[in-house]
Amino acid sequence: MAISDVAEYAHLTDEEVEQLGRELDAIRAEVEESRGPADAAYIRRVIRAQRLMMVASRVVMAVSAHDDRTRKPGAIAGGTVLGLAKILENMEIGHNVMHGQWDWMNDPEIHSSNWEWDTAQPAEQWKHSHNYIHHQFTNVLGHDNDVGYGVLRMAREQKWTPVSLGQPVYNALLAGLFQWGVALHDLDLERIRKMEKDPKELRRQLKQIYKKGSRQALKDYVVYPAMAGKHWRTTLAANAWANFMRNMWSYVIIFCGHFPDGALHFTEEELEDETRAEWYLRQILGAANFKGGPLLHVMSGNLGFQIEHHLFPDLPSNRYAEISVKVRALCEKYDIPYTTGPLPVQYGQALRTIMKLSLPNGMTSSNSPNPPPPEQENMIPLDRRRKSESERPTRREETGSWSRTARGAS
Amino acid sequence: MVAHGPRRLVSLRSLLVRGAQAVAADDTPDHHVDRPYAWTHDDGSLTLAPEVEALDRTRVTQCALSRVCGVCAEPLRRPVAFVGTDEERARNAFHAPPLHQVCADALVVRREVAGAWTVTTTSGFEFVRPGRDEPETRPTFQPNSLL
Repeated sequence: MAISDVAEYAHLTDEEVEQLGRELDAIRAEVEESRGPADAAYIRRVIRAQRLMMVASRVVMAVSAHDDRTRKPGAIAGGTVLGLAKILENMEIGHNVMHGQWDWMNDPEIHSSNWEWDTAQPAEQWKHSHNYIHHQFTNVLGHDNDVGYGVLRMAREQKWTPVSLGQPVYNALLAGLFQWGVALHDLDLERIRKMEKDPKELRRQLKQIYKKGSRQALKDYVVYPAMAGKHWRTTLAANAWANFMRNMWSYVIIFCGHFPDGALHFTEEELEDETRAEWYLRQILGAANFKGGPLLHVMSGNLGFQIEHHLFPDLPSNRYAEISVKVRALCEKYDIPYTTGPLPVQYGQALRTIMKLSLPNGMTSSNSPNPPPPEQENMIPLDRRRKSESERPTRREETGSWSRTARGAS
Repeated sequence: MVAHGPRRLVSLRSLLVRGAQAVAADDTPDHHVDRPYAWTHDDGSLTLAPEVEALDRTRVTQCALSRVCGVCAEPLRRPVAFVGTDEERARNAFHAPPLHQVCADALVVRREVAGAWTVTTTSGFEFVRPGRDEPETRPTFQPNSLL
């Protein structure tokens, strides 16, 4: 469905779409004005906890390795805590710091330009493939590489080929090796297949991935096992378990964000003239949340609030829960779908889509909800184009020098 | 010792950051300023002028979200710099994308724009897309932690 069809789908008048935009702007402004020491304390607490978990896991593995009775349980416990630490680092810390959610703190360490996360993909490539491509072209087929990661057919509009029959296998491989799938994400496999990728840029990116990936592999599969001496195999297995845990978890969370029933795909080619309100609308319609307690949300990088994350990707993640209450109320007010459900249900729907789309469209039915019928017969299509210079109000002449004061800077 | 420990750590950290910035400054060749990324269009045309229209809109969004410099297209570092007219500075809403400080400094001394732009540095910024009825037709950048 093209973004231009959203108007009919949502039954909103031109003015209602803009009013929705203004109400979302107000939510954003409220958080921007109120973010401060409590939020900074939150992220510092999470980072401290993550580092403590990382150290504890290494200590448990090192201490338990030298006794036959404790080696195996120690490796399982240590590996599991290490896996949880990696999940926390990738999801709640790395992903959100690289969005610039904490740049306002003016902390040189917790800054989008300085953070390098504990996974094989170089931060620079993630910021391009995720922050720009995925967040700017959310669910736009042919643009957003998150729609199937270049290996899975995730929308009925995508062409079926016999290769799609292998989707269940590709999906299992992608889940288990997710770190490496993400590492290759910015290469844009689709463009490589079509021979459209600049070979020079491809070489540069591969070199960067090799450098980061080999450092990660060296750390987890050579250096730490070597430190365990003759019990290196146990440490290596524990590290592999930790990475597998992180891979599976991040895969499930990411696939729950855009592929449960109700999250829409778009086919619009030209998004340049999209207004802020339309962009908000596309983010709401293209994303899906899942329900859970505070711990589940922290371990998911607060991506259980995927809709809120897509509306405000650079607001602090610890505020998404409170924002979600207001966004959901707005969706009810404007009769816009707000896709959410328990995590197992959401993932089940995504998995069902993967299985169904391995077959040609004619052999399966769609699980996407039908748009509600128009309220008025013969409804005239709404004109959502951006206004021209002559139609716009003139710019206000007075300047806001207050914004350059210490208060504005705080 | 205890009282001096954290201060020493902070000092070491800031030294490391400054060192990295100094190295990075050497890595930012002047020739990028001749063809700044966000002012160059896909067809190779370029107008280095303070007017908003001179910017390539797609590249501005890319720089904002990928967090790369609008001059050299390399990953941003802290502090983030913005170039803008006095009006943009007073409104705290810049049209040109975020830049490295060295790239911004090099850009404002260009003959074509000398005197028209000044440099503002910040740690973070908000990227604001244009609304349908607003006077702004281009996205703007609002620094949120001025340095």
